Amino acid sequence: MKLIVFSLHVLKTGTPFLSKDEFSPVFIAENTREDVIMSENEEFIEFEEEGEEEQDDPSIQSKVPRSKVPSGERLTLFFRSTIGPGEKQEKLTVDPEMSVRELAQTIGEIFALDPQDFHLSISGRTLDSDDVLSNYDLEDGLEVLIIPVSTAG
Amino acid sequence: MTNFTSKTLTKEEKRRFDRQFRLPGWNQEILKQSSVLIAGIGGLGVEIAKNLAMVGVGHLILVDLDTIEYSNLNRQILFIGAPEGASKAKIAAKKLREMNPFIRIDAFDCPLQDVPPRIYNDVDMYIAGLDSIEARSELNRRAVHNKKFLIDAGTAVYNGHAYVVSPFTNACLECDPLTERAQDQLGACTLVGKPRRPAHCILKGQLRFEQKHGRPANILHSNEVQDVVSYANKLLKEHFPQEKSFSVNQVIQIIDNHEPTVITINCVMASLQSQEAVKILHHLHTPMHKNRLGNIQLNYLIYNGLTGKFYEIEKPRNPKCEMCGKDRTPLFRIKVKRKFRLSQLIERFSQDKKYPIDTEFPPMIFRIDSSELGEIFLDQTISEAGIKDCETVLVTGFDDGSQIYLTLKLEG
Ligand SMILES: [Zn+2]
Repeated sequence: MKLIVFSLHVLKTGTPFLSKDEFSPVFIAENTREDVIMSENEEFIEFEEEGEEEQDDPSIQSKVPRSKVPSGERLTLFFRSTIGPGEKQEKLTVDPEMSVRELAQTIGEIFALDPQDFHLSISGRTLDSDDVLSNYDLEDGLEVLIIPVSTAG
Repeated sequence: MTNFTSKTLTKEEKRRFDRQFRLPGWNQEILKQSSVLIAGIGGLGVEIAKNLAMVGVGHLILVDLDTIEYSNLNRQILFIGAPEGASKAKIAAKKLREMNPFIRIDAFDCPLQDVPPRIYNDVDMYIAGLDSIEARSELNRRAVHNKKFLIDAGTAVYNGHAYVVSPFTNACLECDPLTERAQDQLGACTLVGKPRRPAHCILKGQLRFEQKHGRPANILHSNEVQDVVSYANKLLKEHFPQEKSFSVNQVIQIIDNHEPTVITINCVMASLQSQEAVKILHHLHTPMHKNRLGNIQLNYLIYNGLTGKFYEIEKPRNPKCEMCGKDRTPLFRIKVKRKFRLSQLIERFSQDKKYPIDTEFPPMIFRIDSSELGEIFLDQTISEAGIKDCETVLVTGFDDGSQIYLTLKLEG
């Protein structure tokens, strides 16, 4: 956000940049918004500030930082399927040190689904098979959605 | 109802679009001046292109490097009657011009990367009907760099998803990276050795057939498929006695690997994309908030065609996203003459923007808006380097190993 210089309006309307050197390039920072609809720049600034705190913690590695579950405790999660012939919901108590791959295997057995056909999604984040659950921001009672791997066009 | 007295719409257009003029909040003039890039003209793309052409979006850019296959015809309505092997983008454009002669359609039968950068800059928004993660990533980068809306969608069996990316507002596709379905690769197992997973039994059956006949089994010949099925089931009984034996269809899906798709699911998802596009175009060209047509759906939508249910998932941005997160490579737009030397340009940038040059590893420029990536030598002018208008390049070699993206708006 440090480098907003000229509005893109200048660029669009072709108003010449005031400079002695007519070859002078005009640098315009990326955060100037072109479209009215995307002009809610304030939100972006807020986001940057929020992000800063998390960024300071070098121990954070995963997509959703910081687990709220103390180690050793078991977690109760609610699983809901968005795929298959009937919507199903199951409660499951899991070990936070379990890998996502293992969990998907178990869920596949319970919901009669091939683990290759779904992803697990918590609060808008898709769980990575190579991760362990404790790397995600998990709380007791959270809903985990079983979502399709829909990549075909 | 201003459209009835519009000066920019012809009499024919007024008669043709009469019924939609009557929709509250609708503005045909806005749609006529809009442009949309549609990437991927397959099951989804054909339907999106058809919808937007019918609705009267003034300029469509169709991109697909694929050619028509006979198996497309169960769902891709624009290709009926077209020769197999013809360009999807070109044939679609031709059919759409017949359907709506009032609009302009450009077709590109090349990879997404090779569409002129100027087009990505000029269009109002992008819509994806893509089937690979790589292509989605590429389009996502363009959307974030050019700050354009991107409407993605995809299908899997009887399911689909649709998702509008509004860069820097909700998650981009890189915030929550998509992962490909882990396919069982032939390389993962050989004819000798124990099958580690039930699916490996089918792969072994397939390998055995290929070794015996010097070609893969033809799925239209039941005796050939049966050969693979019986061998696979024999192995399955031996190594995984608790598993149910494979059906012919399961075996076909593995030995002749294509995603199952049907027009009904494609149409649901493509229509959701098209309707969001219509609203976005109205929003982009309506400065006043309160007069805008509806609201944009910024959540991830899932449709289950077996239950008829929809699911909505909120997608927050990821602060660590490489494309739109806090530590992303910053992008600068530059307005510059074509005869400017690249070395001078970098020097100017370094001074103006306080990006000290790394003396040990001095700046290098890389071409990224092309299917042929590579270094661009600094000792030449912009036009000598073949840099196109609105092209984005990657520049490395600033202090602390920092790098930047530069988008060059060319003049002169
Ligand atoms: Zn992102």
